[in-house]
Amino acid sequence: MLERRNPLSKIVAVTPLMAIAALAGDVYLPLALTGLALFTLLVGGVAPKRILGALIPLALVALGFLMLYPLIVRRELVMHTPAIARIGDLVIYAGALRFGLVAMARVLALVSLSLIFSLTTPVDDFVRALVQQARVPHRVGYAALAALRFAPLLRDELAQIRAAHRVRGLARSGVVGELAQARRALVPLLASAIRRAERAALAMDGRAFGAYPQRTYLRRVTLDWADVGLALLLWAAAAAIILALQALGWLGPLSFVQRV
Amino acid sequence: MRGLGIAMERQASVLKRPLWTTRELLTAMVIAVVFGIAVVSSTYLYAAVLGLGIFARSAATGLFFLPAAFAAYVLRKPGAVLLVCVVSGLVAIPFTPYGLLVLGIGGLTGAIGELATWIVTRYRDFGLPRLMATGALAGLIEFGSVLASSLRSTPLTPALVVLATALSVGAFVVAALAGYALANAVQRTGVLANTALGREQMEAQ
Repeated sequence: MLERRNPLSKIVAVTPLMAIAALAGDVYLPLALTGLALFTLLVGGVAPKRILGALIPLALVALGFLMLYPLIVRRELVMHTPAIARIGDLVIYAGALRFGLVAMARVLALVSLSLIFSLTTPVDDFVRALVQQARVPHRVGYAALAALRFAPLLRDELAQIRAAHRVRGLARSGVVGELAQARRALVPLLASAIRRAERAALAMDGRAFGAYPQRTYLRRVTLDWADVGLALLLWAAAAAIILALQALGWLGPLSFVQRV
Repeated sequence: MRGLGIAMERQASVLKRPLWTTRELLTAMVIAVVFGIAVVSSTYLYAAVLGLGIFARSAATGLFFLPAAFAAYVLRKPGAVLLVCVVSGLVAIPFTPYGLLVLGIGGLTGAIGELATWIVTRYRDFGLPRLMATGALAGLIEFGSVLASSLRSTPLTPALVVLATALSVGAFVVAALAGYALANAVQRTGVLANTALGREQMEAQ
């Protein structure tokens, strides 16, 4: 169901929610927004397996925030809270752990909300919507579409270049080896891609691409009331969450700056 | 005859040379696609690095400036940096769950890179020192606009913020250097002959 919605409407729907999640000063609001995002994805017909596949690496990232923040938070912000652990001279305060939890919850919310767009939007439709609804010049949009068609070919070519390097014994392990390998692969890949681009540009010019300001479309991306409804529903749900948390006293400050 | 003249005049006005030729547009787009493909696998690494905190984040964000530096040096046109960064973010959407965030980072890095390129080079002088200065300025703006606010700089000590700023600037300068070296390596294959960099090299010879 979400896949049929206009890509721009999904961006318009989730962007304010992501901004609110980024401003959250307590864990409850980002966790509730994460729940809202997951509920929307499930109702929107995204397979739970796909959602889990996206969230598992994210959970590791969020865990990193939880572990690091208590170590780097400025002491005067948290030293009035109880100490929960001591490692040598280092004291971990409950307030510092709360900073870590809030950071973790914010990351979870931001990525979960972005999944509403990225798990349900074919990139071709996004570019079409940019041209047809957002008035991006069609020469730019359709040049991007033409180049995006090269992506699978270039991925295969990259694999072939790496395989060729391995056959010649050029593969090296370690960070420096990987970087050298990346550089060696990028040069032929870029050269080949630019040659393809020049051939494609000639072919497009030969067919009078962009010669006239008007443009007709084979595939139209529509923007209808269901798209507006999606945005309004998500905003209403977020507003209800904020009001409920406010009533319970769990909202916390909405600000970029944490005050003592 | 008069009718034919009017028709030719109309045709000429329709077919006037655009700011970007199709060849330049497609070249910019494929540069973006190649870097997008290269960046896709590193988005997972980038996400993992984010968990290590502000220092790792500062250092890793420079990676997203590599296509910007390459595009600025090769194409030398207003809008090239922004275009390449946004499209390289677009490429990531089907291949990674962090697609929208990568697109956002790409767009932001592109806008900052474009601004820094305009301030430092005015699209005229693209020597190595200016390219490095562009990277340094972009790193500084990027840190100031995103990292300090989104990671709530106030809970960090001022010394840590200064260190993270230096790391961000350093990472962007390294990315600018890498873009310069890579562009020169690609230029030696001859495929950039029709770009601003290729024309400059031809004139120099």
